[in-house]
This record gives sequence, structure tokens and C-alpha cells, in this order.
Amino acid sequence: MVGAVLGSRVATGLHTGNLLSDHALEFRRDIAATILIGAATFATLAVVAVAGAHLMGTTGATLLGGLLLVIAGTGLLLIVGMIAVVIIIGAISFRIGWDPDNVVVPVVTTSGDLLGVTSFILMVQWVGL
Amino acid sequence: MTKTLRIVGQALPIILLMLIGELFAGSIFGRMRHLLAATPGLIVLVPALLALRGNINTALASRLSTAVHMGLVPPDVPWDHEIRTNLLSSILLGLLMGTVAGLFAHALSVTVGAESAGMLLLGSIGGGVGLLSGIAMAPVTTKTVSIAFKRGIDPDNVVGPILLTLGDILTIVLLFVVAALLTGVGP
Repeated sequence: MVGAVLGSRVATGLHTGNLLSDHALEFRRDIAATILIGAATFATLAVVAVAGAHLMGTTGATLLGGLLLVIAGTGLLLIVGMIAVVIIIGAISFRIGWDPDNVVVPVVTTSGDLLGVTSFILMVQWVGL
Repeated sequence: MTKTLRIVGQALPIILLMLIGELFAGSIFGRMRHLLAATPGLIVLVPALLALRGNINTALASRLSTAVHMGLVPPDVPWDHEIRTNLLSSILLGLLMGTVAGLFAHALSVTVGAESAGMLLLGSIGGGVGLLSGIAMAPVTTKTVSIAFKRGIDPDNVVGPILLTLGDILTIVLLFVVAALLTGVGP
């Protein structure tokens, strides 16, 4: 979802020509917004996950700490990855002459799905849950 | 900074609300266990159909949003000839790619040596869900874009999450119905 917002904004920005003007002001705004939204979303997920764990009786400190680490790490990898994908796919589609509206959002959201699952699995293994 | 916060202020509440919608879609999916077990290869099809519906509609919304931003289409997005052509091609794309996704799910299952419910069944389920979800989501897409503009909200900030979530819920429900009808298996 965060990827959809970023991708949609970047596609519109590429069309209107506003994205990269003024030292890429609009693009930097979009990235800042993405980071804030991503942080808030994953913080919410962390709260829900910890609440859920409590409800299910899982309250070991190491387990909860590990859970938070997994969520934080996944969020970080995902947000950074999606921003990278947007930059790459935005540049490519513009150069090739494809309409960014048709390309950026689908590629970013699907990459986000793949990145999300992969990051999650990597974080779980790294944290050792 | 204020402009950045405006983006966050429009997008974040919608995203958090839509997370609840996604959990709802997940709960429906959780009730399909028997159907999924009885139809090998069907579960492989699910992420593809969800992504397909999301991609088609967010791309459409992105095009519409750009068109309105650039003054090419009025904010109430009336269904004139151009828009109708756009919608029709999106619906046909859903039918075609849904069928292809079903065939791929079959081929992939067979390739890794897993069971498959068959090309015909998976292709039909994919095509059926792709077509029906496309028809249902067409008016939702144009309406969501126009409502956002009318409320002075930048559609780029809210339309994506809304369409992705509604599309996911709709696709899961249709998958349930179409698969149950075509296989004769209940939940």
C-alpha cells in the first residue's frame, strides 16, 4: 500500500514534470512521506503483534523483543527496497517511453510483496525466532 | 515539511483503515481451507489473482488521476467514450491474464511435481475471477478517483490503498464463489 502511494505520486510527478525540478524537491518530499508512513504503519503492526502475542499468552521478553526486531527489520528493508525500486523503474520507464502510470505502481507493489515476504523470512532467521 | 505532513495526513489514516480490510480478506481466506485442499494448485493462483486485480486497477486509477491532474479529464470522471474504452480494456485484460495465471499455476505445479487440479479448472477459475472482479471494480475505480478529487484529497495518496484492499476482499470472495461453483466443493 505504501508502495502504491509512492509509485502513484512519482508517476504523476514524472508526467507533470514537477518531480525532479528544484533539486528534486517533490521527490524528496515523497520519499520523506514514504518513510514517515512506513514507520507509522510498522509501529502500528508492532503494537498489534505484541497485543496479539499477549492475548495468546506469549509474553517472554526475548520472544517479544525478537518479534519487534523482526517487524522493525522487515519494515526497514521493505521501505528502503521499495524506494530503490521506484527510482529504478521510474527512470527506466521514462527513458524507454512507457507511461509510468502503467508501470511504476504494479512493479513497485508486486516487488513490495516479494521483498516483504523475503525480508520477513530473512529477519526471522537472523533473529532466530 | 508541511507539504510532507499533508501527504502523510491523507495517506496514513486510509492505510491503517485498509489494514483492517486486509485482515478481513485474510479471515475469509482462512475459511477456505477445505476448498483449497481439495483443489491442488488453487492456492498457487491466489497471490497472482490478488496482485493482478491490484495492478490493473491501481494502474487505471493512476492514469485517471494523472489525466485529471493535467486537465484532460474532468474531476467527476464521466464515462465518456475514452474512459469506457479504458475500462473495457482493463476488464478484458483481467479476463485474459486471469486465465493465463490459472494456466501458469497448473504448469508450475506440474513442473515442481506437485498435484494440479488441471489446466481447464484452474484456467477457468482464474479467468472467471479476473473477469468478474474487473467488472465489479470498474465503477469503484472511477468513483474513488472522482470522490478523492471532489474532497480536495490528492488521489495519489489514497486511491491506491483503497483499491488494493477492496480488490483483495472482492477477489477472495469471488475466488471462494467461483471455485466452489466449478469444483462443487464447499468451504
